[in-house]
Amino acid sequence: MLAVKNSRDLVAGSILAIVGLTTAYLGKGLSFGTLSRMGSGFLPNTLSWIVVGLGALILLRSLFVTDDAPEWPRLRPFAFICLGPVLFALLIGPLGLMPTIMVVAAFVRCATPQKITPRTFVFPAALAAGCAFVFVYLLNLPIPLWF
Amino acid sequence: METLQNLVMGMGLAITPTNLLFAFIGSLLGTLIGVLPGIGPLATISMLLSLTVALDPVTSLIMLSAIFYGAQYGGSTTAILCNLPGEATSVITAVDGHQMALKGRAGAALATAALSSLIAGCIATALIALLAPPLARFALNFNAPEIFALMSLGLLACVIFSPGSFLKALAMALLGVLLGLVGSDVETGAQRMTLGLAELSDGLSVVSLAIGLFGLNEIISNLSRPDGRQVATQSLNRLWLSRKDFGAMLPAALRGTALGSILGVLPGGGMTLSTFASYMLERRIAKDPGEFGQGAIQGVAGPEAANNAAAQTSFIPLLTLGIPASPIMALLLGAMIIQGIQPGADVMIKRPDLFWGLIASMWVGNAMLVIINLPMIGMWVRLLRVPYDILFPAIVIFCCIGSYSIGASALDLVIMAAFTGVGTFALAVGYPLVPLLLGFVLGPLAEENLRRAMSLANGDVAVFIERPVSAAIIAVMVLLMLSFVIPMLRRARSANSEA
Amino acid sequence: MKNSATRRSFLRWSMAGAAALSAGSLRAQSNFPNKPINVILGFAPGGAIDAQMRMVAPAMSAFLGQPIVIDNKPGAGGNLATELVAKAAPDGYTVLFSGSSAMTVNPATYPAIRYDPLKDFTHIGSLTNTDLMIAINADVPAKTVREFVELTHKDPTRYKYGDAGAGGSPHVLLELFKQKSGAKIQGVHYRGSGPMLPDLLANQIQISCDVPATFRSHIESGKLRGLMMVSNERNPLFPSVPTAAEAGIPDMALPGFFGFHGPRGIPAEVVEKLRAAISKAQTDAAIAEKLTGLGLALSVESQQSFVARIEKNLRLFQAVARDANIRIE
Repeated sequence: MLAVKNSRDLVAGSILAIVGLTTAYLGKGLSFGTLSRMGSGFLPNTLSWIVVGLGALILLRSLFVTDDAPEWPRLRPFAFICLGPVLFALLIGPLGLMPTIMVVAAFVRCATPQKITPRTFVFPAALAAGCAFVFVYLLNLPIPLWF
Repeated sequence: METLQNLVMGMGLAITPTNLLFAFIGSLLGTLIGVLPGIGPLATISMLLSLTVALDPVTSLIMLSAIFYGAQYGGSTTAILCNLPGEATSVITAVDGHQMALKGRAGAALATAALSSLIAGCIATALIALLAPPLARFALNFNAPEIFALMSLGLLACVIFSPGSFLKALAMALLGVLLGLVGSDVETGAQRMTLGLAELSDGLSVVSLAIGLFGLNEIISNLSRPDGRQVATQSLNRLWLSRKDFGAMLPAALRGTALGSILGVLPGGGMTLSTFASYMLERRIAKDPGEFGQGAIQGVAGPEAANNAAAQTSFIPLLTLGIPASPIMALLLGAMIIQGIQPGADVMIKRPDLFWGLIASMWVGNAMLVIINLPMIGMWVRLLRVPYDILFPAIVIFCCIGSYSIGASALDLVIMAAFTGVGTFALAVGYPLVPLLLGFVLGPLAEENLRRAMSLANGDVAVFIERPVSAAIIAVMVLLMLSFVIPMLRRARSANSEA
Repeated sequence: MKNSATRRSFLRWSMAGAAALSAGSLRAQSNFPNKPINVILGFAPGGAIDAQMRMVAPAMSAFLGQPIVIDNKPGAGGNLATELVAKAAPDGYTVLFSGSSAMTVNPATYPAIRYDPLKDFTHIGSLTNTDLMIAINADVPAKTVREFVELTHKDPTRYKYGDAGAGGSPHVLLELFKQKSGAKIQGVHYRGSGPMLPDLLANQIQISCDVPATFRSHIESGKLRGLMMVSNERNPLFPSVPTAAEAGIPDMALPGFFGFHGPRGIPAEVVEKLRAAISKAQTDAAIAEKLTGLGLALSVESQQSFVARIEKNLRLFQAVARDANIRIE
């Protein structure tokens, strides 16, 4: 009876295979072509299936080789840091640079437990002012400061 | 002799007060945008193009070029301090540079980066002065088959030398290539894997990818440690290199310079490839390869030297043949056209002032960069003492602005966030990130040249071994594979005989 | 996911529309321009389009009394910028500066294109004319088009052509050349003239078509040979390169142009003002010298002749693209 010897490779292999299948699906409509006229789908399709194969091999490895368990990060910092840029993307159009920085900086800071102190309010405002100076006045980036 | 006379003439031009001033402005601006993630020399030079119309052609080229190589200096700073590579060329510097910083050797790492860049910049500039035409002719021997072979060699070496599982490194490299293929296809114009988004027709942004994978990911793992971010601060005050450091740094920098000088002349991904190639070379020949990834000084010196040498020699095809080998060089070509200069094989003859003035200014600029950067090391190092709950939100904001500034695209920010997630997941289950990034950068070039080579050879695969240069590169690949496989088989056999 | 830049510009446009309604649009037009003019380019800085626009912008801006903001919006062979301008407000403050391919070639080679070159635009005027040139590597033993064609018949798989991008003018013109001359050549496409040129110099590809400036110094140094101009006139910079008719392909004279286009419905007096700014830039001696130095010719023509030329070339390229089955999805 085969038993999973390491969950790290189990997760790693299966996700890789799924990614490979996804890219294979996305590249499905592309023409494969011939050797002298390789189509736009030649490499995407070939590589996708190789990736699926590698995923399968890594899955197999999980049955025979012992390894550490996956080292997952903590959910809280992960969620706040990943969502920070998304929030930035949503706000920058309607709000402009200054308000966006203040909101996102305050939001991202919650990745670690925070007590409400003067710093909570001063820091985002100072950061926004600093960024406005460097990016908009010094480097002249065409980003509107306010909505 | 004539070269010497020309150089004296060029130096005379480079040290006029106006040109000195603009070289300084360019170096300073380059350092600044290099330090900030995202806003690269490409965006800065395009923004300044209209302004430089008013300047003398030599002055404007001196300034625009200084921005470009100044940015190469600045790029290493954030890579070392925050594990935040603002561009693909500083990804590998971050690997050991950031480890050095965490061990309290940020000053040494930054000094190493600055000195290696200076050495490389000076030597590579001398190479341009002495050997530009033959080097340009040499580069013309690199056509589609050779470029494909070279890119494959780079990827193979990266996979083999990647610590950890070979299968996982290979999977990441191939995945990187697949991600690099997103966008419209050069040969047919077909939209590949773009999910129907018009914004993806020019591909994923390498800056968003690199920042997400490395910079933001680093923040997550720092915040996930139960005891918070650990920076050894006791030796932070030591800013300079010890004699031992210097002894380790210098040969690595010279080897990096040699690699970078050659790869920089080649079209396309020469600069990024040279940094990775130098790192792998240093790791291969090091007495203690285990030190790499833990803060090896050679792992900073080699790639930084290679990067800067390649940045200088990438001017060669532009100045001798009017061929831009990279998007930045295409911009500088545009700057010349706007000034009414015809770029081409005769710039050296028709406008010797421009050619030699620019070369001489590269020495001046490199010297200025060290003068600008060395005193700043102390300030940068102090940045590590800023409380992390202030530092990390600021870094996230810089990353967002940097990524957004490239195309004013919200999608780039979402991609950056997505790759933060990808990076976190990959590290958790033991996938290395460096091969992914190299595959992303080199993959599209490799594919383009593979298809072109096959078209030009009417589908005959033998073209790769019939041409001497590509055959030589493929021979190196085979040797590399053997040097990897044979010890593995030997280990397997001895394990069997013991059993 | 919608681009926030487009969302923001949409806001700006709707606000502009509201302002025009309330303030009375006639008066606003008569004092055109009273704010900066945005010139959209479909290509990144570093190419012929960007360089020309930056050469003429100071003179045009001085004449109009308002800054000219050059806005590079590259993507999809320049089509993103063209689409953007087609949908902009027709007030003369958003115009496109592009090569002729945006109006005459891309609509023929991109079936999925989202603008109609004849219905969606006000064609303001042309700045320069550019005759493309067909050049070969000097190691190819042929001095004329006829010799080259014969050579390709002896070895029908040996000869390759290269162009600066699939679906662009040079690609379609080389296919047209193939049809008209009967040459047996296969195409390879590059990301711009920059990456194409080394392969032509190294004889990896034997023949190419591009603006003369690309080939100039290499023809002078003997590495390349000009085969013919895609035009009925010889180029003063290359007096020895024959015209299409002289080379034996009489119906291949298709001068390309660089010009200004705005969305449909720009008021006539605004168009006149912009045309006056263009001719002001053309008469500046320093600018004219830089433009001709690029192998371009100043183009002076009425708006009617500009529109007629666009229509005629579009029909022709549509026919070629159909016959050669050039489709960029």
